[in-house]
Amino acid sequence: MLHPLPNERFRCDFERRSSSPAKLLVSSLPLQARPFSVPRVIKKSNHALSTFRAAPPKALEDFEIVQRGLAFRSRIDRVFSGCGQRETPVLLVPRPSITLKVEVVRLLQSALVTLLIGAGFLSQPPQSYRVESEPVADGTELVTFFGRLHNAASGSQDLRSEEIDVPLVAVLRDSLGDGDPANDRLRYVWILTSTQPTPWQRAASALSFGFFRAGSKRHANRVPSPALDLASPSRSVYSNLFSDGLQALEFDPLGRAIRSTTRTYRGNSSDYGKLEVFQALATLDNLDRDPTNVSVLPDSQFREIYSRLSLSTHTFGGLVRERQLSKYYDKRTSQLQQTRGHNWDLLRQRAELNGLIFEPLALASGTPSEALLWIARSDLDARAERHFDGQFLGIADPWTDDRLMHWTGYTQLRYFDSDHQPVPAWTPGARAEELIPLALYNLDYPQVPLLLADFRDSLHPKRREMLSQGAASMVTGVLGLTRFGNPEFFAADAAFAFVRGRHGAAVNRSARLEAYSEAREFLSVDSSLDPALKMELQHQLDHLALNPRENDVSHEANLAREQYAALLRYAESPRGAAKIERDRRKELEAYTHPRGERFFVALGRVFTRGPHVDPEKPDPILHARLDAYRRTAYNIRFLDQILASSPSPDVVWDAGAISRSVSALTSDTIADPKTQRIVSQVCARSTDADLVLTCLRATQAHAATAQPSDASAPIALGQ
Amino acid sequence: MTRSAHGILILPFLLALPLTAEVKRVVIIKLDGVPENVLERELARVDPITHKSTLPWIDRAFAQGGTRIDNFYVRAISLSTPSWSLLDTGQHLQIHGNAEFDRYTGHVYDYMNFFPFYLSYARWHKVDMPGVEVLDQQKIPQLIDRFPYPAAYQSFQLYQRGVRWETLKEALPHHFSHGFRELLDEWTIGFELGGKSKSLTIA
Repeated sequence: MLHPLPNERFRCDFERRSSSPAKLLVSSLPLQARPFSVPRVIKKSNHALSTFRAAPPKALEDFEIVQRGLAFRSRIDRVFSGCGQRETPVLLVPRPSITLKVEVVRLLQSALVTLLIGAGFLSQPPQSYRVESEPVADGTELVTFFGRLHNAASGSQDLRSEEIDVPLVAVLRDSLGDGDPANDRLRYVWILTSTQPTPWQRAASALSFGFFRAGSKRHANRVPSPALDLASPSRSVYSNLFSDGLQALEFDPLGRAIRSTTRTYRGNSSDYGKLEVFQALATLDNLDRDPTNVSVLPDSQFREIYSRLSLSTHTFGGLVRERQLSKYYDKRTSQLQQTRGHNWDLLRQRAELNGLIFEPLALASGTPSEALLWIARSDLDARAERHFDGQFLGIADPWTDDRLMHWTGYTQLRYFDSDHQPVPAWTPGARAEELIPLALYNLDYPQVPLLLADFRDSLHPKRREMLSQGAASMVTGVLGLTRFGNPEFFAADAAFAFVRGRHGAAVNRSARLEAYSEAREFLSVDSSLDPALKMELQHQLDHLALNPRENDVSHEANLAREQYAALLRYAESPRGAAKIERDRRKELEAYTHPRGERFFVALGRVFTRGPHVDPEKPDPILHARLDAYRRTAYNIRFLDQILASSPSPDVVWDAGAISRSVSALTSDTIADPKTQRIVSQVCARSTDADLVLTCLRATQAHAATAQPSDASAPIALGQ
Repeated sequence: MTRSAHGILILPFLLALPLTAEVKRVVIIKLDGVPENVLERELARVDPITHKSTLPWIDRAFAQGGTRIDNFYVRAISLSTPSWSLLDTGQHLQIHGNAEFDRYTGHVYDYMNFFPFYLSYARWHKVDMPGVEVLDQQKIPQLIDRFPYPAAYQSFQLYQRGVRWETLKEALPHHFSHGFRELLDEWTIGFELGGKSKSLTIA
């Protein structure tokens, strides 16, 4: 078998003999070539080693020298006519034994590598979350976040074998049919576990002090309502403000019953929406941003989805401008990491101080968001000597609790070495300890770990939550005291909450909801916990399900899959295509029509239902115009944000990317008044010579093509 | 005479020449509690989107356009006040803890507490932080003492000489002088007392 040498320089030294294809003619290389170790095979052949210096060993080791010297060369002069004069030709033939041996070794090597890769692949736990893109109608895609959830419907206790991929969040991305993110537009976000309430759920959610789950939906075959429209995030702000105003001005004066009922109904509805949003955020938080996922969803789009979802839980979150989203994302994620680190250490210290065992819990792709506290049964023997300080733990003293002495609930056998470090069971000298779980905490609650489950007193967290929500319902719903209607109450409430918060009390309802939602999500996805412990934790966590609208977590996988199927059917249907086309027209109007005109056009649509759209015949001109406007907006946004981020744009960003953006703006057919100003600023503040030259050329080109008075100039982008 | 001998003769003359490099401004950035490898690590890390270092300005100003010293450390106990006293003075340690108690006089030195400093400044015009007073008593100058007081601008720090209320007064309105939308954005996502630099990611 012939092996071509890797170096171009050696090619002239080879020739295949016509009479014997297996033989090769090889000349040696120039003697002044740099030496290197000569293959063992050649050394054994007892020839002058200097002749073979600089020959590639991997090729030569397959051959045996059978003839060398000038006598041989005289017969093959034509072969070496192109090579140097100081060469000594040799005749090499492949060594059958060596060749066979090498081939066998290579075969074994490749088999071993394949085996190792396969074993590595199989031993790696599958990703908890992944993202996929599914093309739907007319140049749009459905970007879906999947999670590996335990299939509760199977009834199996083997969590790993019964895991299924469940679509959790879907986002419609209008890419206009190409793969360039510059002209992409993110539209609707669906949280697929969120459902419309049943009539009984609706009725129960209007009951004041009705802190119970009113059944659970088992099937949802309708297209879910989008949780957010990323193209128009401010709409939800105005509708919320309108309903708040309606509540304060119209419903509240109607009496205690109406006020209490309407406030409870709206509160439960809002809480359920937040619960689902927090669950979606937990999904995004734990998504591993590996290259596969990034190729499906670029970082900028991921940040936009995450930030908009998170901001949707704030009163004025929808009004935050697009340029602030990346900053908000950085701020929120770094704050989350800080909070987790702080709570992790605080809980660990408190556990060690009280002689308890601290165990952080995390998904494979994330940092610990939950933690368990255990107590060793053997330590209870010496409990008289123990002292307990329950600050920040929120649980009763385990050393004086007789229930633990006769504990019949869940326990776990763990092994520790002489340094009290956990070790596998087979470790020599390992000491077995029976551990009793005490409590589950969430580490994302600001300032202190939040107690979510107390194994000795299951209703303890529930009582705390009911008291808190009941007090709020009593004050606002029954007594009619609101924070904005009663400044004295507002001041007293704020002061009380501040002091209690400083003492470690969980006074932030939204943060409590977020902690509960994250724990639910964690238990749904995690496959590392012991199944019995996981069931116990889910049972404990179910006590915190106080919202009548909330569905049972065991049904959510089925609900999400059914809703996703319905969504896919809708997106591929003519109705879905027509909706996309109408949205595109509205978007184009936003680029080309002033705000006032758009208002009247929208008003007209209320009565005329708008222009007819044929989904079977998409308008290519509209697509081309939209593509141009989106690219211009993208480049302007890009340069605008870079200018805002640094006095010298080329210091913080690749000058080539800025140049490309400037060139794209200049060659654009869309004349935007911002373009000239932004390019001038980039030119004035750049230090890179090539970039400055590009900007100057762009400025000159713009000046040459600019019209002195253009009455039909389009309005500024981004209005 | 050999070439090296010529060199040895010329060297004193060269050293005697005045240096003409003009330093217009010295900016000292003090980072408390940052391990030395963090800075190196972040400087070396290239953002895959921007194709620049994750600390672009530090990279530009110090790594590319300035001087760096590797393995530079403070040989003292790892507490803020003693460590910064070594860095600010280059002298042997005189302050040995973040708080000290003089058993002979009964005086407590709380070097990290800013509130008494501002209170003393407002009531009795005591213009220096306690650490600075101790160093002054020991006649140990700081690096900032190399520059005249009107030319040096110090931010909040442990070895602070005076408070520039006027500078603060001028800076605060500038910091909050934004449009309504910007204020609304900041109120929603959280106010920042730091610089106005913004992070961004555009793919």
